[in-house]
Amino acid sequence: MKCNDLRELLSAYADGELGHAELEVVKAHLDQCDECRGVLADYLEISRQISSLRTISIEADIVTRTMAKVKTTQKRKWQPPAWQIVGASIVLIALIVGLIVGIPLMGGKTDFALAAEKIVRNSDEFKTAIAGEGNITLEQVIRRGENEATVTFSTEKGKQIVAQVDVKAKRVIELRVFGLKIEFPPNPEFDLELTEAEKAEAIAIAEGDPTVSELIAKGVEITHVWGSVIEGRKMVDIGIIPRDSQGVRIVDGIYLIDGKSVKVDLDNKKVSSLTEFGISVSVISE
Amino acid sequence: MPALDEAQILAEIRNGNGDAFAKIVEHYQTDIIRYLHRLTGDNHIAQDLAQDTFLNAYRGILKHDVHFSLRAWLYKIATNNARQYHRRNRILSFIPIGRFRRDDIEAHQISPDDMEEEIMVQDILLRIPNDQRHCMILHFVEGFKYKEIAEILGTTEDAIRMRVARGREVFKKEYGARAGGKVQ
Repeated sequence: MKCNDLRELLSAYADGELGHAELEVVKAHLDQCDECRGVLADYLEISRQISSLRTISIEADIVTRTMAKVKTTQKRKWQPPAWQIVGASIVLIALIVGLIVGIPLMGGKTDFALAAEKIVRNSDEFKTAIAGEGNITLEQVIRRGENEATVTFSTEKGKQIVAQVDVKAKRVIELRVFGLKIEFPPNPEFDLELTEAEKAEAIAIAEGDPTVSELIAKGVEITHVWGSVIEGRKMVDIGIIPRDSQGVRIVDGIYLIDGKSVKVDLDNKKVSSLTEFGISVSVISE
Repeated sequence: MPALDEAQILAEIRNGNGDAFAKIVEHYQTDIIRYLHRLTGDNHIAQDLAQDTFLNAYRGILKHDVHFSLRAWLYKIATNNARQYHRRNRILSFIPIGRFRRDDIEAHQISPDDMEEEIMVQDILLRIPNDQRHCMILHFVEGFKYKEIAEILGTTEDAIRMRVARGREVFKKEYGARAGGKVQ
């Protein structure tokens, strides 16, 4: 065997990773080859140099920060899906739409956009929401239909304020704040606190569904596991977004978040539906 | 480091005591951050990716049975996170990354000679293709056998053997070019 052909075996020999037969081949060759003994010495030295990296100490204390995130996962309560999905969608869409149509809406700051922003800023709900939040930045104004707009702000403390405004009537229809500190009031009609075991069971049922398991195999992030009681049945809504998600797609004017909502019927132990996250938004540039 | 009763902790977590997970983070954080530091060349990024790694692991524990050792599984998640990081930042990969910052070096109290070698070894490692580098770090630094690395990276032992050998050759060539001759 030529020396060059032995390089891979020599490397594995240096690492003590050869089986008996190959070990004998390498030993026999080393006995009669100075050059390969030199290469082996180099290989062992490389092992030593790289393994010496382990002596460096890393100052590590991520326990507190990591556990805070874990607790967020644990404590995430079911929130009215409509608002949660719509709200999250709006924030995401606001960012995406900002890239696509930001200039006509924001660049010129149309009278409509300015009016919508002003109505929100002057509202009591907004003033309450921004208390203690530091600097407030207007992110996006999305026109919805003839008179309404969705206005999104971000705060220095990392919250997102999303307001629906009726510009013609000069009033805020509804204002919601999205952020870690916000507790959504439970909806007694649907709210169902799931135990960890129930969540795990729902996920296992979802994984057992051929279509869902195909999605999972490609790599997904679970965005939420929410429980509800619908028509007396215990239902779990699991949100999944592919790891290689491209974000938002626009299909026939509907903004689809690149994810799926899997509804699991916990009583009958089956997936009852698989739908896309989506929201229809009319964006009209003036 | 005292041994961890992993089976007991995993059972506690699955029974709803999420706080038990802190013991796992505490036990493995240094190894995982150091490993991610080797892969990304940046301590701050390593810390962020390590947090993601533990969070993914926590979610995973609730969902799946860990079918091989917890340690190897954490390395698998960390490796995937580092790969994703590299994919996201592939445009930046032309920029030399990963040199130690001076404050890192001072914090570690290394002698000047060791520091010089450490910087050079780290720098050369970062020039080795990702798949080969991952294998070399898992084997030489983290002490995993080829078989375990194959499980972590989801490939075969033969592929690992080849990658380690090729990575060694790249290392040897780079080191020789810098040191003006042979390794050492």
